[in-house]
Amino acid sequence: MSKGANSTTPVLMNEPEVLKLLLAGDPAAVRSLVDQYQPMVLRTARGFVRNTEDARDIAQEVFIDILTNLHRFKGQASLSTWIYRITVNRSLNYLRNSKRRQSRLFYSEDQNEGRRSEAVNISDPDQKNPAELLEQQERSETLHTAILSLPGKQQVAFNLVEYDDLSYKEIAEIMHLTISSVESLLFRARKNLQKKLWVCYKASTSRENGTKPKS
Amino acid sequence: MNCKNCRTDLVGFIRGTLPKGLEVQIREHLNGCEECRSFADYLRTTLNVIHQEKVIPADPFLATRIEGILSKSGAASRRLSFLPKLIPALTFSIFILAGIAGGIGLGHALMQANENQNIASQQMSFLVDDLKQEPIESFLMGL
Ligand SMILES: [Zn+2]
Repeated sequence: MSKGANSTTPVLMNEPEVLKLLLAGDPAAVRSLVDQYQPMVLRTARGFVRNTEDARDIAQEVFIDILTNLHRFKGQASLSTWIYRITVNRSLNYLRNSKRRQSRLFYSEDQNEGRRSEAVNISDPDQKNPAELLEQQERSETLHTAILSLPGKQQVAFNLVEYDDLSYKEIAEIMHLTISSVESLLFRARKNLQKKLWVCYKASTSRENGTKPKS
Repeated sequence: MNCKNCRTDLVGFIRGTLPKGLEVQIREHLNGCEECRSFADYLRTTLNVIHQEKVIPADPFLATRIEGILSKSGAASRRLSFLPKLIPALTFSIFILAGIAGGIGLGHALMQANENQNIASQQMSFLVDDLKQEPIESFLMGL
């Protein structure tokens, strides 16, 4: 199961080969693992955080986790399923810790601005004009605020289907749930997301109406 | 279909996950309702952010950084790895030293006790001798 990994990543080795090299302590194995799974880990982490830099921090933690806990990998699930689980757990931990850091983050607003604009630039190589960039940044903030307000399991299922294009079966395997539970989680996640975004939509339209000069 | 019901399933409609019948009903409602259509456009544009965000260029230095971190932590654990082996030897040495120190201390204490005993006995004999030399009767008689 590595639809997400295989869809955009050039596959250098198959999972058993990577595992064999890792377990044998082959120095080239670390590079193969990172090259092969970095896009997948970054994509998954990005769904949980507001900027690319945070996703990169999580990716580093994920690979260190993988390499230091390799002896715990039982091979009952595929390597990519195991990596997805570690990435989701690391991302949720990161969110919990960043909530604790939130007061500190408010003080470094300038730094955050730098990170956000960098994130927009990276994901937007077409170099949009400042107004378009600002609009995209606002939409990203709105979307992530809505996603982060979802209950934990809904958030995980939504991110795995949206950011990783995983099937319900794959998500069920990662989350240790039945396919019907995943369906139900996603159904509720979409409804909840719609409710949150409706509030944002109403706020933005009333703001636009309020700022428009009366003719 | 009313506006509230339409809005409830709009994310599913945009993502194409709804049953065919419901999808047709929503499409028909959107054709005739400007506000729901405007909200659907807002949702579509907002959800499109995901497509842009999930394209993240890989960090070419990540593997090197991870190798560095792991080798540092490996070196640190190797630096401390002699400690478990050293603990039994250290414990044994401490017991031996404690035994020697205890023996010396005990010897000193015994010698000290002997000396004290000698002084005490000398003092006692002195007193006895004094009594011998100056009997009470003669002392009283002298008054
Ligand atoms: Zn309507």
